[in-house]
Amino acid sequence: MRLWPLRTKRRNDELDEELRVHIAMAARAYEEQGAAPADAMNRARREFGNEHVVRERTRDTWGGARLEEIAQDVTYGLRGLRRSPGFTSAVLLSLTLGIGVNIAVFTLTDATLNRPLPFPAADRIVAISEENVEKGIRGAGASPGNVLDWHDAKDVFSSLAAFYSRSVVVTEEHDAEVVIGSQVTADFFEVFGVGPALGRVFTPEEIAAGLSETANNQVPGPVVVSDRFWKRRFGGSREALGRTISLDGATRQVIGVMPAAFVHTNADVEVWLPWDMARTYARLKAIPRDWRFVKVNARLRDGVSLDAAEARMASLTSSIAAAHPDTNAGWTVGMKPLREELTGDARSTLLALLAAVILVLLLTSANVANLQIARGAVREREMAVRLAMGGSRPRLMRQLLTESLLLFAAGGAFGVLVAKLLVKDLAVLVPRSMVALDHVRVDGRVLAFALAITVLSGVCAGLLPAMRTAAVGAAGVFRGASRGASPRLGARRWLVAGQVAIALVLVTGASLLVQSVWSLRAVDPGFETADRLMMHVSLNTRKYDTGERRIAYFERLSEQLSSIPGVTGVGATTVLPMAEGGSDFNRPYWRADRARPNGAPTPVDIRMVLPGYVASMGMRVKAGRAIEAQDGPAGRPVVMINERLARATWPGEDPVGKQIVLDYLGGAYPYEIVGVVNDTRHGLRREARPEVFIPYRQNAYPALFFVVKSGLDPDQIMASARQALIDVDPAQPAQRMALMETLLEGTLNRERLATRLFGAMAFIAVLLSALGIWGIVDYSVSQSTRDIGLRMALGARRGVVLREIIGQSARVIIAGMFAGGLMLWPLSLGFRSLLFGVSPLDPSTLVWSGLLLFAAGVLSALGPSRRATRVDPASALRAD
Amino acid sequence: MVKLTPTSNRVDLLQGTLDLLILQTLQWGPQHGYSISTAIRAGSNEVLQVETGSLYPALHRLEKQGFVKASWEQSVNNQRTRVYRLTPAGRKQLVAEKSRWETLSAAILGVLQPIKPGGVA
Repeated sequence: MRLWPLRTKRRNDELDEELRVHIAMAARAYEEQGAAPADAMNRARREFGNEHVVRERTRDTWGGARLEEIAQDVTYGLRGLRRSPGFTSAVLLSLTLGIGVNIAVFTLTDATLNRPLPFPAADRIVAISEENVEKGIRGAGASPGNVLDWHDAKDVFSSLAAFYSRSVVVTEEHDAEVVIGSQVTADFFEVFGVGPALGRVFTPEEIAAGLSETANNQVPGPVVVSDRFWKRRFGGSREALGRTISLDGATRQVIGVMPAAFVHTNADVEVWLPWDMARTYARLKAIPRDWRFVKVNARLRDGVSLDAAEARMASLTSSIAAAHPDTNAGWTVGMKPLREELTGDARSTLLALLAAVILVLLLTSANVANLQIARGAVREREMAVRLAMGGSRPRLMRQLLTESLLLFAAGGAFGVLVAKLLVKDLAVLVPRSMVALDHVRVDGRVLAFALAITVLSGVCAGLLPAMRTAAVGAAGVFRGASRGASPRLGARRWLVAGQVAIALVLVTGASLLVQSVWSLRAVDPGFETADRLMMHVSLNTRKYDTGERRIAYFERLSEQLSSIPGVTGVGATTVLPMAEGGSDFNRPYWRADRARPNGAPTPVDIRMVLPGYVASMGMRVKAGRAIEAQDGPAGRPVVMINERLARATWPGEDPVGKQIVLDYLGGAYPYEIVGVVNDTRHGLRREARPEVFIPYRQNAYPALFFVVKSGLDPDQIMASARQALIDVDPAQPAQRMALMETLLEGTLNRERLATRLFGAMAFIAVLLSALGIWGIVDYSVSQSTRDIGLRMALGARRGVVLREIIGQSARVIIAGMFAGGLMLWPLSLGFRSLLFGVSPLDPSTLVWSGLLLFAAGVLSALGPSRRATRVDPASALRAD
Repeated sequence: MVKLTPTSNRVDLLQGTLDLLILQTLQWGPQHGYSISTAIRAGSNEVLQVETGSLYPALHRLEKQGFVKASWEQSVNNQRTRVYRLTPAGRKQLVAEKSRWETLSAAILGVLQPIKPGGVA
């Protein structure tokens, strides 16, 4: 390989000189034999042969592609592309999109499915949850009592830790902020195997000394903070260690800072607090086994397989269930690798998407190949002439390939830019914990992928046309354009059929997604979102340590909000539909007029509500009345239930006035049902569940979601609500404030994004396939003008000719659709998790997509076909 | 590669034959391209005429393989010419090629003139 241009130039000059000397010597020899100088020179030249060919062949022995040749190829390529700006920009645009989307989706898929989790030997970490097959409950939290027993499985787990998130109010003089904290048990940091970036983590003694909310320590308790928290509140200073901060009104000392990469189940956690489960529940007669709310992660001992651990846990669980049938009958555990737990169903979404974008790139490449072949047909003469002039075939091929690669290289470069823009938006598709921001970025690995797909698709798209064009051969050169069906059309037909197949897959996918979004939008959630503001307020439990204080605060806030001019309704609940952050308090219940069922009774979701909740949400009272201000601490215990619970437990009866027993608040007590409200969906995809609403004043939980109904514009009502918060207690901020509509839309983000992506890709696919069909029909018509003219001169009717040409393209389309149908089947499996209310192989969707594609194909064939029938027989016959 | 002149049809000689002829020609001393081609022609009694389109690629290939070495020298006519000379590797190659060629031509001759019964192969 000679890659130094200077050296190559010298070599070329020397070769030229060598050949010139050869001719000069031959001429002198003839002169010496007596020939006239001019004759001698001519004869020498003639005998020497084609100087250009000699030079080319000799250079070929030098080996490798020389830089100057590559430079020449690139120059020719650029010139060729500049000469057809329409072709170039169309191809460039589709390549930029095709490659860009590929890179973006790859980045995300790679970050989610391939990148190692930021923990050593992360594949040894498992997530353990409780499940109840009979009741169809999977992935429930674990209960503290059971988790304590799980510690017996020390033989399979080297460490096991439980944790749960809660909001924590951070106060500093006049500034208050709510952050997400995680209560963690002793082995928490050992499970993940990650130490602090600064300082230390909790000692066993500190965990045992406990958080604890009730302990009245003189010494400040320890806290470990996140990198984000450390940078925000302490400016990333080492001085932060040993500093004290006020969390929920208690002074705590910062003992450690975790590294930025330490992100797990909840990406928003900013402070970690020690938690001794046994101590927390010491005042209860037993540590609860049916409050399933903690998450459990454990690290497998070396050499222990997941199966072995599962078997061990299964036997442990069944002995626990035998010992505590009331709470544990029917409950088992599920175990999966941490990655699976974190990835959730994003895996199938990502893979479906990756498949789709790769299909689009294939389609784009096929299109580029097709267009290049078409251009190749036009350039046949150019190629033939260059071959005849001594251009070598590999050289011509290389030049044609260079042209394709140039296009793809530009497409790839723009694609990387597009990907950078897209990646952040696409991140909606995966759980936040999987996309710790430093993971998802366009880095060397992604660029390598970009380079690989660019070169691969470029070569694939360029090789076929290059081979075809360069294969024209000097033989076929000046014979003129071939007549009738050209062999070149065969390959193009296949390409187009492939495009149609891919287009069918994408169009079907897109229409399935559109239908899903429609079905989701058509779902009645059971409440209204328009003109409603949501506000999550989580009280500082040190300051508001008694029920009375909490009630007083929330009632004042409620009054303050109601007094804002324009506000027409205020209510509050512990769990708001569509909003994350509430706790379901899934508790056993039964009819008071019947005995407690054997085993573990069916649980029901329990919410505490302020009066006005039903009205502010636009919900409807179906029987009896809603919770009202009269339902106070002094009154008899009452509840409101939803229709689902009413139907399931009192079928055909009126539950109002009846008693329901809830095993809640430290014992099973009866509550009188005062009313029934309509069902609400807490997620559009989730069916409504049985619910019980307890008056807030009868159980003052420290956090509430407020709903404020008003006709005010968003900025105005948010500002007023903030002012109301400050008026009641400036040290008590809201954790979150959002419009209910935004919340509802947010739950559709994933669906809408997937729909937009698939829609865009389907559009590109249909467009490119139509172009492909147009191309082959146009080409075959232009090639068979004389045939058509002849037949029409012999009396063939226009309609017959037209039908025949369209029939040909219809066959290509149908072959493509058949192949597409076959591709759909395996792909639909990955698609399932994205869909709602429509089957991935919905027959009517398939038919409609097929018809749409067929119509687009036939329409694009129509234009050039009609041109064929307008051929004037006389002139067609006379043409050349 | 090498044309048979003047009357016979064009015949492509076996691959490598030209290389052998070049190496053989250079055995007598360094020469430039033109003199190599005339030497081959003269040596074959005007039967073999080397096409320049074969000669120069062959020379450059041999140079790349290290069998010959090229340098610019002044000719008797005071012209700068590119002169090729055998390298030690080239000498070895010549011997090997020659014996291969002899084996080959003997074999071909053997086929063309079948040996009498009782003869030794």
